[in-house]
Amino acid sequence: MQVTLSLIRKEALQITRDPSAIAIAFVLPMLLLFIFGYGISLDSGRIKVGVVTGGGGRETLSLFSAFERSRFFEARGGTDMRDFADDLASGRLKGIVVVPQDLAGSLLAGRQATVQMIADGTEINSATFLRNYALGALDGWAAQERLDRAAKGDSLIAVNPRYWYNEELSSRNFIIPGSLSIVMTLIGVLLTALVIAREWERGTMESLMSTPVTIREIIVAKLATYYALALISTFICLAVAVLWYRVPFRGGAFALWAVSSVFLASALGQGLLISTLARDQYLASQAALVSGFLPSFFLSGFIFEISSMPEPIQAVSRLVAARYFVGSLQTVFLTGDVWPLFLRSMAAMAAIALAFLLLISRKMVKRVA
Amino acid sequence: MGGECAISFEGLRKTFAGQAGPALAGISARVARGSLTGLVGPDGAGKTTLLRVLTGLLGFDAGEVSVLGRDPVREPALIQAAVGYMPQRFGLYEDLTVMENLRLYADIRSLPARGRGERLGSLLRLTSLSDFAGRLAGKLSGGMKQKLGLACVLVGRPELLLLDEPSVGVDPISRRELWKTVRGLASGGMSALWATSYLDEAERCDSVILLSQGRIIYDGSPEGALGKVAGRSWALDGIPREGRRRALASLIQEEGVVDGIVRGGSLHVVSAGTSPSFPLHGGTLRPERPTFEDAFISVLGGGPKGDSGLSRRASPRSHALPVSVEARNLTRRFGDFTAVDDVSFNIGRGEIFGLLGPNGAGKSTTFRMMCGLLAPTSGKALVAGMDLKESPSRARARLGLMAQRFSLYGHLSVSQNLEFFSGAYGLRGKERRDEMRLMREIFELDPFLDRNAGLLPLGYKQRLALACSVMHQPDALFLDEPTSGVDPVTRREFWLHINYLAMSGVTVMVSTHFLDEAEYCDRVAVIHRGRSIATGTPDEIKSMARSPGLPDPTMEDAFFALVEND
Repeated sequence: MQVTLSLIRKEALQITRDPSAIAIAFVLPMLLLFIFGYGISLDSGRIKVGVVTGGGGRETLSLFSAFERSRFFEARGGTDMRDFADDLASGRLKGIVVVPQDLAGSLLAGRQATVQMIADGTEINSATFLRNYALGALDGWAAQERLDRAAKGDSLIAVNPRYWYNEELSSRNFIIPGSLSIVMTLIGVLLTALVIAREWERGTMESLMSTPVTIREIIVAKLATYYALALISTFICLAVAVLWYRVPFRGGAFALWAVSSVFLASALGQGLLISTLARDQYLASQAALVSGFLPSFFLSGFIFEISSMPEPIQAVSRLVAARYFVGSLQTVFLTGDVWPLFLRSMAAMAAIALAFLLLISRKMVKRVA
Repeated sequence: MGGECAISFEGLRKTFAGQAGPALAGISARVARGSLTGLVGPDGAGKTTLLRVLTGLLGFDAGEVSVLGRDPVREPALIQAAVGYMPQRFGLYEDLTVMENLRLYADIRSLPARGRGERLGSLLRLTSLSDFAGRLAGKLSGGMKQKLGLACVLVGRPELLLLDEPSVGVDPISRRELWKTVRGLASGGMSALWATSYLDEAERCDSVILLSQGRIIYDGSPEGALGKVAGRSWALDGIPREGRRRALASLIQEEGVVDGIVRGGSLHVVSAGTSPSFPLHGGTLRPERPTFEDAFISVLGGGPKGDSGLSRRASPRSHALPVSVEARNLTRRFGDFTAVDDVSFNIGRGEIFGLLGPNGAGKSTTFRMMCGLLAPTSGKALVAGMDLKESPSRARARLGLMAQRFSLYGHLSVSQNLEFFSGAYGLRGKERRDEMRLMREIFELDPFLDRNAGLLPLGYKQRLALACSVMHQPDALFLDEPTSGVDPVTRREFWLHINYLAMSGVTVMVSTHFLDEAEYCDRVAVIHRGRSIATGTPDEIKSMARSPGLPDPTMEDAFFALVEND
């Protein structure tokens, strides 16, 4: 115990003096939060569309104004498709909405009117936004029309969309919690793998191993120190997220701690495993980036929706601890303490952590070669 | 077992996967308690493997091993508690201070709190680090780092010290202190096994084990080893400077000559028998006291025979045009620290000029300025009359540099490094292929071609680095500690090449930690605290230390006298 404490003190001293540790644990997370908070937004802003209103009439005009009023569109009116074709090709418009000539007639006759929508398919994200928002706008308009008529006596059900948990539909609110998983992956996998590989590179590991220190004491000291460092960094990020970026935090600090701890167990395990296999910093950082950082970015649901991935990739994502962590983080921030979800995620992450620890215990022996 | 023996092993065998021969080929030896035993051998002989096995850090294939009466496989923890092992590069935590490093090892060794302060204090005094207790270990000089490493090992009052080349890369002054410290501890009853490639150290051990290619080829007292070359060491005086290297090159090819080197104004020759049977090249012969190095080389089968492989070049470039290398009042300051202070020298065509000095004296800084890698604060560095500041690339194409620290690409294989450097120096086509093949042959790199350069044994890294610096046939060659960490036999080979290059007209500037190597140079400059405190031929430098009490000073005597009087 005395020896472990002494090793932990040594790790702590090293962190305070090592600029790269400070950078990875404190500067990089702030930078990431800054980028995610300001730079990356999955909100589309206002999409520029042209609306062809060839037919005229009250219904056509009210549909046009529905697009004009929408906070998702910047709409321009025209009488012919050809007015917009060039702008769509050059990218000045993201889409065209064509209101049929006989809209009023169709509605009056009770026939279904078809509104044509043309989107720039080269920008898939914008096209998807355009489709969804345009449907929303049309729905809204239809509801409005019926409402107006309801006042005249027709009774119809109104569509009333409402977005829960993220009322502002702001992507920042779910990106920032998710980015905490990146921060913890950086410290747990990258920093841990680097510092142990460095001990091999500088020969300090061989010196340590020639003393009566047990391998368990060395590992426990490393894990304890970097666990603490990651948690400190996480709670600093939490403070910045809530106080600066105004991300709601509806769950409890205890839940955040519990979920983070289990995730860190797997991240630290992964870092430790990498460093026992790759004994130089260059290789260790490559392995940590490829096996830790990238999956936690791409396969965790942090940015890309897992349910829209091909089935085999979804299967792979189930082996990525960050996948369970991102979901729990978004829940603890935006929804609150949903323990059944947390416990399920924690069980999955614990299983992954256990697998890493088993591999380490088989690989890590007190031998130099 | 274990009574009078600190270490004993029988039939110890260890093979590494993927290597042709065994690292340890079933060796047996004993190390007596309370003795200082030297473990000597060329690079890759198996010294590090043996020490790791003894510390319980490495398993082995067959044999019986006992360390302090214990089995390193079954009871590694008990051995590790009683043994102080200092790996080749003792891993100090460079971002911790001297005292913090010591405290960490005191904790690990469970040193009781009572008396701890005195213990650490006395260790600091022993290693003369008392004034540096608060300094970061990374900011210590190479010698001080090794002394701190030793202090960390001594914290636990080990019964047995296992030291893996503690003096490699350490300047002569620190090296002497390190040696005195361990010598004193051994006299106090501690046992020590000291791996070294410095033969003057081996000569002063109580007992010596000589390893080569995983086999023990000598085990006994240094005197016994010296006895093997008794009456076979000679000095050949009176050969003029111009003919000396040529005479040596021809002498070492003689049947009756086991080994030969330049020693100042004379040649030092070891004959095969006790009666010299080799041509004298116009010199006069006198018997000399044999050195341990003579014995070592002789037991290993003699120095390299034949000529430098570099002479087999299909299209050697003529170095007939004189390329002088000149430092004119060279000065370099870093902030308010003056690393090099008004140093001047002039090296002529075909001359070997040596720079001697402790670590941090300014040798490497001088090298960097001479190669145009660092701009002087004032003064000039001239190669073939060209100022490196003004026409660096033209001047640089004519010079080759072997930097002190391994400067090759560690993650590229040996053949990839050769390919890259030959291309970078502008070799193309057949010339490039020929040159690469020649380098592989000369430096025996073939077994390692696909291995990453960073994973080579130290001696082979140096071979590769030397190969890369001479492939483009430079007119001037700058070698910054080329033989650091290289065993005596390989050092002979390096000097064979250097001598050949000088004979063919290449201007050579070399720095070294081996004071005997200074004797191979035509002229040397002793650098201390950034200033050149003495310049002259090796004999002139030696004579500066001559006194009634010391009629025939060695280079080492002269060096210490000069540095201490500065």
